[in-house]
Amino acid sequence: MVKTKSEGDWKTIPARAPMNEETDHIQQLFDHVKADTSDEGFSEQVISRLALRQRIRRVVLVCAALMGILLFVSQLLRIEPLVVRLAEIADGSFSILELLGGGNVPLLVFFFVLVIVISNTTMTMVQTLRSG
Amino acid sequence: MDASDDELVVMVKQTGNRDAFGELVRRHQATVRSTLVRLTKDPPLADDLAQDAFIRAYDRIEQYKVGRSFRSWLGGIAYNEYLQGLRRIRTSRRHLESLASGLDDSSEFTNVESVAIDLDRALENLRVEERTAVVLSYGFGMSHAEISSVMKAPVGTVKSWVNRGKDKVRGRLEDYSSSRTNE
Repeated sequence: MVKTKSEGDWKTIPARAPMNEETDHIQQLFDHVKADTSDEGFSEQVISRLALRQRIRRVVLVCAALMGILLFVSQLLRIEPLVVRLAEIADGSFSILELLGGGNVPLLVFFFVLVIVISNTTMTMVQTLRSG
Repeated sequence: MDASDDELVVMVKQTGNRDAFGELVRRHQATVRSTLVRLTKDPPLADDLAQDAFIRAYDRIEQYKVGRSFRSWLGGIAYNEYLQGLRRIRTSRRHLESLASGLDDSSEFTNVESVAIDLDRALENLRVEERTAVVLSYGFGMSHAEISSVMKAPVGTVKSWVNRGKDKVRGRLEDYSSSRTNE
């Protein structure tokens, strides 16, 4: 038998005895190498990856649900397609001020809710990534 | 935690209890990681694959049938992760080369490291199927039938791979042992 130091403690391990004297030397080698594999935070990494993945999945589900609801509501209120409106805002041919002055209440509400959802989602994603 | 693997699995199945799954990870991480190191010959990659295997196991925990060996079931998942990671393994052969270049001076290694190196060198001489079968058999404690299922090969073929691989490894280890004695 040989003495070796593993994980801070001295322990006795099987020496390289002749093969015919051992029941299964290969199994002992496998067990021996395995016994030397310390956790070193491995399990915590797996669990934190699981937790992060579940949180992201939840956020994505909530976002998808909210966007679905918004699109459904916009269809109900016969609001102009969102993409067209956003493009108009981007090229300057339509402004939020016009929206306020124009008295298009459903569209105004739609944009208001959209801004809240986007900012809330962004904040949640940032928090999730930071805590992960 | 004194609960058996099956009790922990039931807790995970019923409530998605991450603490219970964490305990399963702690119990089996050494087996999965050290066995994947034998297959990949690349410890960092083996750790990545082991993490993926545990996450996959969490996702598929419903498929585990209570009463069979959790370790073997996990071994099947880890083996599949290894197969999927083969492409990455081929591109990270440099680690093997650095390991081989360090073999000349074995006096620097601790006993455990030299055991691991001897084992890896002995396994290196096996055909891929023999090495895989031997590693699954000894590393995960899989039965021939279980290996046959994950490797998708007949049980008789698996038996011959294991036996032939075992004989070759024994022979190599005897060679290493006698060459050290002669030194």
